[in-house]
Amino acid sequence: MVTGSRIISFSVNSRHCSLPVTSREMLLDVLRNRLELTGAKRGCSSGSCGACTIVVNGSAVRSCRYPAFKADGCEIITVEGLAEIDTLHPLQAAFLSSGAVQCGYCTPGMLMSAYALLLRNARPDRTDVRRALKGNLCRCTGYLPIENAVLAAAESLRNQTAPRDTGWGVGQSPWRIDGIEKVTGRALFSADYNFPDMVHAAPVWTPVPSGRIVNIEPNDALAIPGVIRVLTWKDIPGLNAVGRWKADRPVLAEHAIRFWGDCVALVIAQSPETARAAAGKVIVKTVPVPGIYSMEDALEPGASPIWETGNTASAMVVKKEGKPDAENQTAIVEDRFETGFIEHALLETEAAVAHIDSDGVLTVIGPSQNVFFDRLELMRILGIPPRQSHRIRVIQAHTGGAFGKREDMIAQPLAALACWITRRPAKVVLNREESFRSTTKRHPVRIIHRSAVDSTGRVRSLEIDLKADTGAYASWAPNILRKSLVHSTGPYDIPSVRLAGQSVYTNSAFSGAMRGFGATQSLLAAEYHMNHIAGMLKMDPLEFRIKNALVNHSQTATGQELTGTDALPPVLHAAARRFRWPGPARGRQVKGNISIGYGIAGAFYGIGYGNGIPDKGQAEIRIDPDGNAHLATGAVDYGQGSSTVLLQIALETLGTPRSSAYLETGDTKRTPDSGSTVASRQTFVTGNAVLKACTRLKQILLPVAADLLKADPQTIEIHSGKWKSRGHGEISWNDLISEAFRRNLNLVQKARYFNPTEPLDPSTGQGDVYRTYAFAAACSEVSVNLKNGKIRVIRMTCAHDSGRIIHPELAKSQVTGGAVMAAGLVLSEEYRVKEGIPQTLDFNTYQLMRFGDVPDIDVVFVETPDPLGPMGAKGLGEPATLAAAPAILNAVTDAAGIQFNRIPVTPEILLSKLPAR
Amino acid sequence: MKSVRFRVNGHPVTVDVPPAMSLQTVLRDVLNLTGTKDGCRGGECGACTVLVDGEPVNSCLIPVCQIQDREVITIEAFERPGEPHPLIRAFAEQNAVQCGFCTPGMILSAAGLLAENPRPDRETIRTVLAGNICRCTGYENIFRATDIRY
Repeated sequence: MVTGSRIISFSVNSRHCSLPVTSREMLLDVLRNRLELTGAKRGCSSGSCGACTIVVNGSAVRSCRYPAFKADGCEIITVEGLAEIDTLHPLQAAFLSSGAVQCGYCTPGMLMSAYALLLRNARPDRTDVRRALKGNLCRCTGYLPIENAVLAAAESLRNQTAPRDTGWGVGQSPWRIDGIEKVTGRALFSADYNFPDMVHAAPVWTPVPSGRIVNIEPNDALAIPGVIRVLTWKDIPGLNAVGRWKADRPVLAEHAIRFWGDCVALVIAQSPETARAAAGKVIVKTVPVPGIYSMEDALEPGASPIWETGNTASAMVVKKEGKPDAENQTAIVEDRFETGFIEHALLETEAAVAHIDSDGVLTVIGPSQNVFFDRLELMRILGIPPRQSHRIRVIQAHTGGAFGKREDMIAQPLAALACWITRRPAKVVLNREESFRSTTKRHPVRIIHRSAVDSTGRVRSLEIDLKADTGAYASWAPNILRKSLVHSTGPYDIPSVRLAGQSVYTNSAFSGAMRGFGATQSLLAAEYHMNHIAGMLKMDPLEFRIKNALVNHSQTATGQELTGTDALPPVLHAAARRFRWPGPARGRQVKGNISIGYGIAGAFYGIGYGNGIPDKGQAEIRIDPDGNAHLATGAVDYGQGSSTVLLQIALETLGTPRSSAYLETGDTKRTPDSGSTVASRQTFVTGNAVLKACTRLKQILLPVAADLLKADPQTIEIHSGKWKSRGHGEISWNDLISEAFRRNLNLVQKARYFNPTEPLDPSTGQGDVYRTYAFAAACSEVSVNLKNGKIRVIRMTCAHDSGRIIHPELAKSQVTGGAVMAAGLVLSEEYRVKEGIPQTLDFNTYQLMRFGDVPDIDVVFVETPDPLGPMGAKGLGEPATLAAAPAILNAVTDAAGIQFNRIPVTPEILLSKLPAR
Repeated sequence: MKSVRFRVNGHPVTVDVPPAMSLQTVLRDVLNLTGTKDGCRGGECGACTVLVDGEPVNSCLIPVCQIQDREVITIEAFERPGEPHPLIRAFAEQNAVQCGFCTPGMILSAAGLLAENPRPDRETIRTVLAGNICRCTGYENIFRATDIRY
């Protein structure tokens, strides 16, 4: 027994436990580390995210802040205790039926908060749900699906029924493929993995945001019992760099310190506590170097270069000359718009485990957006030569949110190094502060618009100057800049454009991919500008947008002609109609201190990598003799739902019953490379690969079915698991497969789908840069309190043309999640950095939208089947934020009667800009 | 429960276990060294062979309390980065491995023999390895591998 500890007894999920605990131990540590109950998650360790919520004696508590000794004699229920052996609790079932689960990291805490609510209130209303769950953060769903699930569960508990799974056809909303794991707490996220004899590693961070390392002194750390090694850059066997486009970010900094998130050393110890304590004892001596903390300073002539190549990471232009129409030009409108750093705020912090298999293969388990990219980079770091990629295996763990951040690895190289060097399994888990300081952010931008508008309200030409702060390292700087610039006109048909973009290095932070990949900021700025023009022309913002909208056969800024789509007008009209857009008659309505305003905005988004970058999806399907269909693809699902959608496409094509189908994803050893889960591309690209593989298999099975049915193959239809021909009856999947095996047919099919695009001309920025575009429009009603500055989004309508919708509930959950993320972007979120030192390192200072802040969101899908998409589908993940953000900003502008050319518009900023009353 | 202290592959270990627990169980289930195999628990198959103070023994037959302060070598000690151990190399080159289940025991028995007698004749090899059963190879390749003496 450890000194200072006492034995406590309690019951967890009806099982009795008795164990010694120290006074410092929190209940979450006991559950996760000692009882192997890893369902409750760690999100912040400060009680502000709710992911660790459990129920103690009937009340929801934050177990990360609940001292374990207080649980003595208590009855504890965790997410693992909700379901009875095979029967889900109605709450769990309702979460799955309502699209309330995406990444699943907040799910255990949400379920337990809701469970405690239902214990004391069998008839909660919306307000009760919001109050009970206000301490639980969710970054994916936008809360509304969760609210609906809790209300549905309450009803089914009263009626003694439970929501059930539906069919798996395209257009239905079955329970997501990883849903049951996620609602029962069985789903393993990276930090939930444990291996025998595992070591734990903790990073040592730079003490300055800009400087040079003079000396790293590990002796004090090494003197602590349980410390195994302290690694520095000298211990890295291969290339000391991470970065897919440019390998520039050191795993462990060598000499130069370029930002506050640089990792200097790695302490490996027997326990996580020892590793952390020892990391604090490593002395890092540095000489400060004056840092550059703004784009202006970085571009100042004679500014000291952050990289040898200078302070410009990337630059590009897009130029399209339309017909001059000088006589009709009337107004020139100019605007300037700015944004700050935005944090993804993934509920799961960065974590990874690595171990060496019996055959000597290093296996790294971590969050991921592309296990194959991760493998390439890890090989390079460990010095594994090319063409020996079998020596390392990367497996995607369940991933607690991604939104672009998981494209730049943080924990995986550290865990891989610790394992490679000690030859023991190794684990690295960053805490929330480390996550904030070290990971990528959304690029801050400064955009200047200059439009020429004719007397009819048509924008004739647009000049844009866009500068983006990529921070200390490049990440995907040129690609993000390109997506930003290509979309910077907004979804409008503008005959002449001159767009110039530049991505700039600073020492402020580290920018990378985040939902929208640069287009979020440029579309927001464009819609701010368009609203400004409409206002100046005294035109209804809707009418103005329709007048300028991209339509079928319009040309985008890059000269790409749109085909096979009605583009923007259908979604704008759909949003306006459902929202009951007040139209030209509307005016600012002030009652007392409250002013109500309305905003509208449109967006478009290129699906896939674009720009001629090889964009491939691969899928393999194999039917086993018992009729089981095994589908494999490298496409990772981090909660947005691609796995479920891909399986739906397969089942719809083949008529395989769900119970006979299995999908494997995200494992470099067992699944074929399907590219990154980015750019809203997986439904479109890998969906097409799955469709192709399954269609080939179907062609093999059709003659068999025709013989069995004694029917013409042309007449055979597949419907709810049966192959049918009118007048010839039907056969089951099992009979069909038995016969196919009797005939020794090849029931293994692989397919690749290639999504061709054109690189933009480097001098003009012209070209067919994306294969297809999704369209979105949103309307928003906002109230502004003119006295205290509080802004509330009251209701929104979001209309999306993402082609045919495969899974409506998951799609809706994407849209509500995107809209709420957009509200945070516009109203509250900013990762503030002062002279290179971040000021927002927790969820109290970095303010996310919470349950109570969420508006009513009406989601409309305008399902124009895409001629190239699988079953007509396009992408949706990123478009979900794009139109929502400017719709909210424009509504705030409308309600306040003043323009805000910088986000976020916080109550303080609003008040400071309001004219004195 | 008894606290037993000994060395495994050069590392000191202390285990708190029932004194009659076999060395095999301690190695496999307590110390997670699963290279030592469990074939019969009766000392008949030799799959659990390890070296105790250099002497090959059936670890399934030895109560761990008898190991106090002694030196145990298991198959895991033969794993090393870079150039493989000569005996491992000989087993691989002579195709002395098929299913691999008897292999750890065979290698430990052979290693014990070679430590004592670096140039054994074929008859000695046969006699010493007689306690290790192999169902796959027909033994010939194993004898040859042991005979190579790199």
